[in-house]
Amino acid sequence: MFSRISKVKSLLSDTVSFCSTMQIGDTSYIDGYALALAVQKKSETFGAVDIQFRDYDIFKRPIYIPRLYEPVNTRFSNPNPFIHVGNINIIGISSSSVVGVGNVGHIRMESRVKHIRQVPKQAEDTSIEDSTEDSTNNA
Amino acid sequence: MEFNVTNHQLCVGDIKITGVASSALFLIGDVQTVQLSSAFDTPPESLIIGPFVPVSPEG
Repeated sequence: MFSRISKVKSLLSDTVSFCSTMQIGDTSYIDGYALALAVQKKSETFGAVDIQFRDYDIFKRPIYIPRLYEPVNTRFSNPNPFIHVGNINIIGISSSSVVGVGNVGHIRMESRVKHIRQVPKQAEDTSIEDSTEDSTNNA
Repeated sequence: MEFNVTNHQLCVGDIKITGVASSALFLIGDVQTVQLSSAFDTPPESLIIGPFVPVSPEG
């Protein structure tokens, strides 16, 4: 079935982090899964926050997969058996992402991200000085 | 449904990518099936205004 060969001149990435993969060669299955809770707080210290994925609906709801209504008969022919690519430069690969060179059987990737912002209620005492005020006195 | 594909020459120059993130996929090659799913949530309720330190759970 897979007869094409991927030819890449060079593949360069500065960072591969958080369970990401750089895969060179054929693969049967890729199954990527990433959950993220991004908490942004106005605080001088950022200690441990007691929050769990199960507290939020977004990590529980089932994923939507489109249905196949009719069988599809596919046929491939490859008069040119190569995929030529020049130099690839990727700055960052993160959060269960996959960068691959080669043929793959089946791929399933899933990502769920929840953003939370927390700001203090009271206005802070550090008043911003108005630079336009008393400008004549400074001269 | 009949689906016939003929792959002639495919030549790509240089590729520059800033980032591949959150279960994203960048592939040079052929693939049989791909299923991608992504959920992102930042509703107005996720903006918590208050002095409480632990983040309170909500939907």
